[in-house]
Amino acid sequence: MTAVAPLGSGQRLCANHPERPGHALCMACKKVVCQECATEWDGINYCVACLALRRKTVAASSSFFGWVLVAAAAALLFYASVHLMVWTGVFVTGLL
Amino acid sequence: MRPTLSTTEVLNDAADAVTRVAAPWMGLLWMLSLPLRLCQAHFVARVIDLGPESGQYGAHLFGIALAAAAALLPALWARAVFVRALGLSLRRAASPGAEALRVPAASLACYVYAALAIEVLFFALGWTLVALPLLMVMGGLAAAIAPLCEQPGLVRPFREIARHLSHGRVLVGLVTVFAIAFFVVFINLLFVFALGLWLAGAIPGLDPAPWQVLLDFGNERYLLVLCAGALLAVEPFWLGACVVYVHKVRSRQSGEDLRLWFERLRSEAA
Repeated sequence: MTAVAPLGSGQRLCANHPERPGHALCMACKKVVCQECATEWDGINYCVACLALRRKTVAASSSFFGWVLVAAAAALLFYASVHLMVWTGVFVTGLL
Repeated sequence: MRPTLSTTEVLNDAADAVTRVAAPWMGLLWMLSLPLRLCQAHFVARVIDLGPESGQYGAHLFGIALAAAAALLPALWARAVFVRALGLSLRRAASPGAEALRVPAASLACYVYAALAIEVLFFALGWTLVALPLLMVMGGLAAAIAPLCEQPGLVRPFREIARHLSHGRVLVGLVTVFAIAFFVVFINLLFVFALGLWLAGAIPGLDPAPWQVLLDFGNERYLLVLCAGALLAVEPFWLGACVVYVHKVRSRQSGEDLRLWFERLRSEAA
């Protein structure tokens, strides 16, 4: 899927810069934007505002999963460390 | 030409940084690490007492191990605060205030996770003694790189630790120096207690005989408490050395050290 719409010169103007001709269509807000305002991400064009919003959402979701993973791993390691401490103590006294 | 990073350079800067943050952050570190060290000493003493029959007292040992693991969490927080205070003092060349307490949640979570993973590795491999120096380095670096983890993740702390293992010679030097420091502090503590006992004998009405039994070199508990004391004394300097090492490695990678050098040259020329 691509967001670059076939915009003819003078047909559509950039929503942020009315003096500039439109280059692409933002797939999130459907606004026409110029070459400077359009950024391609994963093959799709976005305007500056929608790109910032999307990056924020992705960062928040990756941060949430990161928190869940780290909390789960820490809890598991805490449990393992207590058991391993006892097992190692018993094992080392068996060696001596 | 840029001089190579040396152990003495790291130790000198670490001594300055630790001195700047000693009050009150070293006190906080000692206060919150003391229960952990005493729990660990008690656990080892019980295992030695029980000997080959310790396998039959699993529930009892589990209780002590659980207390030690619970005491580890505030100790980790204290280490994170101490490292943050050191980092702030390195940037400003002054003792930081209460802002050292505001450890970012993500870096603290990453540190707790990494420290627990290293703790597990310690119990799994530490008894072989061969892995101890590497685990010691990883433990120190895990604390020092924690401020770099701005988002929680499972791989990030270990990637950062691996990235900072580049100057192996300096790290070997640091481990050697701190292993010697541990034994020196241990011997000093031993003599301080012996001196205290000898002086106590001069106080009329005080019978030092029971203390002589407790503070005897043959008493395993006494030796374990001395080990705990030596670890407590050395720990702030070890963390300081690791923080300075990470700071220097990053400065070299970013060219910050050259910028500071040029600034110093310019100010000297002016």
